[in-house]
Amino acid sequence: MKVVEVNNLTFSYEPSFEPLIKNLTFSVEKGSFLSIIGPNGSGKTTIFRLLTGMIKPAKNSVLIWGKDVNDYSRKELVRYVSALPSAEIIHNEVLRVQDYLELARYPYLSVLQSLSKIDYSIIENAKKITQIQRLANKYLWELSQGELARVRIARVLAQDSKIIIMDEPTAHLDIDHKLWFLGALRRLKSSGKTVVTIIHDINLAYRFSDEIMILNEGRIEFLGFKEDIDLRLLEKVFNVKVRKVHNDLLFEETF
Amino acid sequence: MDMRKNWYVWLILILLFLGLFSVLYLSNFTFKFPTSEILRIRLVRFLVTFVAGYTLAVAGGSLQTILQNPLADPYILGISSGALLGVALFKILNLHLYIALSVPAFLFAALTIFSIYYLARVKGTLVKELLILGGLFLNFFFNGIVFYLLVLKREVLEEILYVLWGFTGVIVTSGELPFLLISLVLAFILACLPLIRIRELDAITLGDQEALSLGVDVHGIRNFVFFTTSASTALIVSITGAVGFVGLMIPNIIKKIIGGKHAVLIPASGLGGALLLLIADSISRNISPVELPLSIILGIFAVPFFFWIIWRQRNESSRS
Repeated sequence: MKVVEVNNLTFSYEPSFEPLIKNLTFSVEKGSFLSIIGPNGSGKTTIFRLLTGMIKPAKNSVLIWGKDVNDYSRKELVRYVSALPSAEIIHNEVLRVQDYLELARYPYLSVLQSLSKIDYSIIENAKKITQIQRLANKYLWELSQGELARVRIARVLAQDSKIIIMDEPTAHLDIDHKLWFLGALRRLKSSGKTVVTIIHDINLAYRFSDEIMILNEGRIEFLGFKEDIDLRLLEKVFNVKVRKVHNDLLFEETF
Repeated sequence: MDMRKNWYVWLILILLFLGLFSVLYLSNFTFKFPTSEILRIRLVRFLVTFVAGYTLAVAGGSLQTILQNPLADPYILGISSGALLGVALFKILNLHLYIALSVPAFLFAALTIFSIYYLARVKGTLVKELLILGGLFLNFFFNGIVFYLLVLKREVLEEILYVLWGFTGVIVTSGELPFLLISLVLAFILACLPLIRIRELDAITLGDQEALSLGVDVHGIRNFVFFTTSASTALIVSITGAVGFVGLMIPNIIKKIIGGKHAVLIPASGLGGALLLLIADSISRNISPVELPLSIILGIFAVPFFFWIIWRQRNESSRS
């Protein structure tokens, strides 16, 4: 089943500008793990915003679970798509980890309805899986980057959406937390979720995801299983030399 | 000790102090029971001061969240002076009913906040400096026109001062009293409305994108807050003129000592705002032979507040 469908998607912030996204067409199957890679300015973050409805795409150009992303209310959409924007919540002095996780249940509540026992047990479970019980009473600004990464995965778990779309979730993490984070995404995938992530690190994308999309100047250069990537394409798009050593990619500068 | 864990202690403290001060205010610090006629006048003034303080502080607090700017407040952003322009335009038509005056006041207030907001958005992101600058310039502009209009109408200069700087000692005839009370009740209700949106406001402190990804209709909430704050500010301004600084100072202080979660921030700001304005009005009535406009007294209070803000910012930037 196609859970994300993109048809002839073109987008620019101002009509007079050259489009950042040019005529994209692709789809994501249920239960797959897709990494989107591409050099700076290739339109990755714009795609993230379009897929998660943060900016409005043209009518019928982005379908989530078979329905135009513009036709969902915000609450409804979030029950299908959990979005992780590139980390901006670090300086928050208002909320504790527990408050943040309670907000993850917001899409399931009506105005003034308080959280049920089930909501709380879902939150407790998310904390247990990510091993953050001891952080529950800390304010978000007190967390280290590694702790924040765990809290964000806990948020995704508590939100319990069918698709998870992320914008560079591992950008600021140390390598151990990076590996933990991507491992957590693998486990989410095996529990039946669909994972789409924008990622800077080509090696990590190559190692953890099933499918890879290479984006360049707003166009798809490649989309398919990672085994089928032509290394010469990577060399062209990223302007490097690439060698395959065992199952990893090795990059060398071209000059 | 984390003071924010004991928010209810603070809330009770504010309430106690507010209650005590209200009694002092009504007896005007003489500890004698006033005659019924004087009590009626004082009670009206008390209500006007209380609701004005409550409303403006709540408006400031919710605007600060929605605009993610600790300097936002109805006065700084020009909402108050926009409302004042509406009032002044209709005062030349010799219209004096508060509730009627608040309609044009609301239209101008809403126009102000929406236009400032859209002018300060550059490529989809809100530029904080533009927001405050825009408000500042509109403030000067509107105040200029208001001054001109009131001079044209040959109001005594004294009265212009009170309108531009805010004053709660309004004189009402018994015919006007019901309209005044309706205005106050409406303003108070509008100031309580953000309480049904506390979850959304909490989420917006995480930033627009994070709030959107939690399922919050950020755009809708922003319009809701713009609407309620401009309406409540307009109702207050048409009674008291433009009272400044309450909405700026109180929510920032509450955020630091009690915490920024809106279930507490909103009511605590309201009560704190009421208390501050009652104190300011007591000073206004008692320290000089002429009663002083409130923004003047509050402006003097604001000086240590600004030093405190600057001191905190310096500490913060040295921490990171």
